[in-house]
Amino acid sequence: MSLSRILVVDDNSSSVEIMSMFFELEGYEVETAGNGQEGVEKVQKFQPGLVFMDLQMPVKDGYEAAREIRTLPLGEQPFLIALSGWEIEKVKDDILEAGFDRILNKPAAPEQLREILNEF
Amino acid sequence: MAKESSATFAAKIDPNLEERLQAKLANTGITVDQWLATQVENFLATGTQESEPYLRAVVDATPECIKVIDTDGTIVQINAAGLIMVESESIPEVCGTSVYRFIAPEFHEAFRQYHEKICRGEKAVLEFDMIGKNGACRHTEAQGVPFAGPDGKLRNLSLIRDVTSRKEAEEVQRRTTETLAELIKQSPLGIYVVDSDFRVSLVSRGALPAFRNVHPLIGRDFEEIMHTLWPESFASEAVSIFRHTLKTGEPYVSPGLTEKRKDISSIESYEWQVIRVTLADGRYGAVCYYFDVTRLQAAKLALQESEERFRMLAENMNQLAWTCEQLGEVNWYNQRWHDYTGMSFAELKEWGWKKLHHPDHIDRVEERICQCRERGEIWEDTFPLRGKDGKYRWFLSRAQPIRDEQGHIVRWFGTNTDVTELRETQQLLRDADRRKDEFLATLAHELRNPLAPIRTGLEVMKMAKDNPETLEKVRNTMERQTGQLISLVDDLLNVSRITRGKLELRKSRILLAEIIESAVEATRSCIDEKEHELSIVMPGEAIHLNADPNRMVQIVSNLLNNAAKYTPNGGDITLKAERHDGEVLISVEDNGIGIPPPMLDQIFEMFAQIDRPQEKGYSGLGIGLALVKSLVEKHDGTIEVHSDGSNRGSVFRVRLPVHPEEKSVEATDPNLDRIAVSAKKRKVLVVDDNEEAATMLAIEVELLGNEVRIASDGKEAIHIAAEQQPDVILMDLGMPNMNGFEAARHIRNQPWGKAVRLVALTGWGQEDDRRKTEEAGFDYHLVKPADSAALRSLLNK
Repeated sequence: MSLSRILVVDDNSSSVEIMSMFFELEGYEVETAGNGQEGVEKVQKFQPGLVFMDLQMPVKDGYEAAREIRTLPLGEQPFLIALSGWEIEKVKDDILEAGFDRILNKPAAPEQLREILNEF
Repeated sequence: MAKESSATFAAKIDPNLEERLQAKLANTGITVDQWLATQVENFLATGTQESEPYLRAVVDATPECIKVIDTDGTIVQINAAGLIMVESESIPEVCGTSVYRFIAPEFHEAFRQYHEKICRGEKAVLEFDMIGKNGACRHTEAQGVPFAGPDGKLRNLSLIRDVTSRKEAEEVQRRTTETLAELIKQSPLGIYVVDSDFRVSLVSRGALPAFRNVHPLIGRDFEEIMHTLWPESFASEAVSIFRHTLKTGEPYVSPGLTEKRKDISSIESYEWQVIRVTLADGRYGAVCYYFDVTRLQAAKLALQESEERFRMLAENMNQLAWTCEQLGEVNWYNQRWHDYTGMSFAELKEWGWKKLHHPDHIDRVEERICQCRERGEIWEDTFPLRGKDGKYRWFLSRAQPIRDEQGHIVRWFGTNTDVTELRETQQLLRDADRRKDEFLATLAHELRNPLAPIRTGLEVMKMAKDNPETLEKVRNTMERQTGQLISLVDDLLNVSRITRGKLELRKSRILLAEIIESAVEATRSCIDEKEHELSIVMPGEAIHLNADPNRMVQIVSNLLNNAAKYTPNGGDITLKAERHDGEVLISVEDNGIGIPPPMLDQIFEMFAQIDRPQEKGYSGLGIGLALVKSLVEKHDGTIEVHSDGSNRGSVFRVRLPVHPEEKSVEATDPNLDRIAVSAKKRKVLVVDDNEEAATMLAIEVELLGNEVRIASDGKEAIHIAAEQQPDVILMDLGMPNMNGFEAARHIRNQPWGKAVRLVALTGWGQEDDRRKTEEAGFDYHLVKPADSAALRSLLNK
C-alpha cells in the first residue's frame, strides 16, 4: 500500500467525482468505486493507504465491504474512513465494529478531510 | 245444741272424720250425723259414759288440737294432737293449768277477748302464736264455740290448727310473686302481662317506652290499649292472638312486624311472642316478650338499599365488574361480564375466570392477585381477556378491598375496563412518533447526501480557480445536486400541503408532450449519472390534458427518478404514453431491483420506505410515491404498480382523463409530437431587486436565444418596459420602491401592456399570493429558483 493512494467508494457519482477532484488537487493518486463490491476489488488491485467509503450502497454496503477488506491478505491494511449521513452517535458502534478507523459525517468540511490526510 | 251443728263441728274437728265414721258405721244403718249427735250428747252429758273412751279415741286421733277451756282460762280437756302442740306428754301436766302459758305474750290480750267472746256464747276465730312447753312457736288458727260445762257456765271448745307451714308457704309464695313481679318490672327487655280479665297487670321497664302514651297503664284493658297504639287491623289481630293463647295455652311467635304507630306515627319493628302462664292469683295470664328491632330493621333496610344502589351502579357502569370475599374467588359478576364472555355464573364463579385468560398472561396475573390478597393491597393489572367471539381484548383491571370498622377485609370490588382501543391508539401514536423520528433522521440523511459534494465542490472551485475545465465539471455536478435538494424540498412542501388538505390545482389545457419534456429535463441528470438508457415512446397525436402543469411534471419526474434510483447503473428505463379512448396511459418501466410482493400493497403509503427492511444500500424519504398517488388522484386519475419480484424490475402505470374538448380523431399536428420546439426570439424583461438572481436569470434567458433587459424594482420596470415593449416580463414580487403587484397593475393599464406575458417569480407554498398575483394581472408563476425547463416552456408559449 501507499499512503499517497486514496480510494473513494460511493454510489453517488457526484460525490465520488468531487471527492476525487479534491484529493487529486491535494496531490493524491485517486481511484473510485461505485459500491462495496467494487471497493473491495479496488483495494486489492490499487492497494490504497486511505479508503473513504460511503455506507449505504447497492450490491454491497460499506459495513460488509469494510469487514471483507479487514480479512484481505494485504501487506498492510489501509485506513478506512466511513462517510455517514446518519447521526454518528447512533451508528458509531456498528461502524467501528465493521473495522473502520474513523467516521466523518456528511457533508464533511474540507478541513476535516485535510485533517485526516495529515494524520495518516 | 242442735243436731246439725254437731255434724258441722265434727267436720271442723277433722275433715276426714266423716269418712272414717262412715266406714265404721257402714253396716249399722246409723248415719254419721245420728252417731255423732248421740256421741256428743253423751260426751257432754255424762263425761264418763261408756262411750267416752271411744269418743276420746276419735278426738285423740284428730290431727288438730282440741281444747276445752274453762271460763277462767283453765284447760279442762285436751286431745293428743293438743299435747303435741304444747310439747307435753301427759294430760295431767296440761289440764288444770292456764291456757295462757302456751300463748305468746303478744297474743294474750287477743286471746282473752276471743275467749271471753266465746264464754259469752258467741263463736270466734283467732290467729295467734302458740308456745310449747319447750318454747317451740307455732302459728295457729283457732276456731272456738261455746258449750255449757257441768256447772252450767259456758266453756270454750277450741279447735286449734297448726298453720305455721301454710303461713310460711304463703310467705314464700308472696315473696316469690313479688320477686318475679320485680324481675319483670326491672327487666330492660320488653315484657308485659295481661291477666285473665284481659287487663295489663305487669309491664317491664323495657316495655314502658312502647306504652308511654297510655295512662294509666296497669289495670287498663289490653284491647283498648292496643287500639290506642296501633292501627285497627294490627290491633285486632294482636288482641285475637292474645285471647287465643290465653284460652288455649298455645304459644305464639310472631314472624316479625313493622308497623306505623297510631299514637306517634313513627314506624316501629318488633319481634314478639306470647305464652300463657299461671299468675299469682292462680288464674291464667298471657305474657308477651318482645324485642324492639326498629333500629336493626332500619339498618337492614339501609344495607339492602345500599346493596341495591351498588347493584344498580355495577350493572350500569361501562366496565365489567365483580366482587369477591377473598380476592380471586369471585362470587358475583355484573351482566356485562356475562355478555362479554358468553359464560354463565356457574362457569365463571370462584377461579372460573381463569379460563378466559391468555396462556401467556395467566401465571403473572394469578401471582399478582395472590400477592395483593395476602397484603390486602389494591390490585391493578392489564391483560387480555377472551370474549365470546373468541377474540382477546385488553382490560385494565383493578380491585379494591372493602373493610369493616375494625379494618378487616370483608370483600373486594373489582372492575375490568376495556382499554383495547386506548392501547391501539397509544400504539399508533408510538408508531407515528417513531416514524416521525425516523423520518427526520432520514430527511437529514437525504439532505446531507447532495450537500456533501456541494460543500466539497465549493472547496474544489477555490482550489481550481485557474482550471476552467475542472470548474465547469464541478459546477455541473453541484447544479445536479442542487436540483436534487430542490426537488426534495418541493416534495416535502407538497406532502405538507396534501396532509393539510391545502393543495390546490391550477388546471389548464396543457399538452402532454410538454409535460413529458419538462419531466425528462428535470430528471436527465439523475438518469445520466447512473448511465441508464432512457427510451421515450410517444403517440403520434397531440394529447391535451386538463391538468396543473407543475404537478403533472412532478408526477412524471418522480416516477422517472424512482426508476433511476432503484435500478443498478446502466439499466433500461422506458417512458411510454399511449391513448386509450378518453384516457391517457403513462407508464414508467425499469429493469431494476423490483418490489417484493408483500411491499406492493403499501408502496404508495406515506413513509412506506421507512418501515421497509431496506433494500441494500437504498434510502429515501418514502414520500415520493405517496405524493405521486395523491397528485394523480387529484387529477381524477389512477396509479398502479406491477413487479415480478426482487430484481425483476417494476412498472408504474398512471391513467389520466384527456381534456374533455379533445376529439380522438383530431388532426395530427406533427410539430406537437416533437419534444423540442424551436424557440422564437422574444423580448424579455427580468425584474428583481436581488441583483445576482436577476443577472443569473437574465443570462439563462439570453442563452435560450432571447433579448433581455434587467430592472431592479417596480418603478424601473415600468420605465424600461415602456421603452422596450417586451413580450415577456419575469418579475419578483417583494421589491423596494414599487412591488411586483403594483408594477403589474400599472403595466396592464398601459396600451402596450395588455398583451405582455406577465410572469410572477414566487416562492412555493404561497397559494394566497397566487390569488393576489392573478388579481394583479399576472398570467403565470415561476417558482424560485427558476427551473430552466419551466422557463423555456413559458418563453415558448
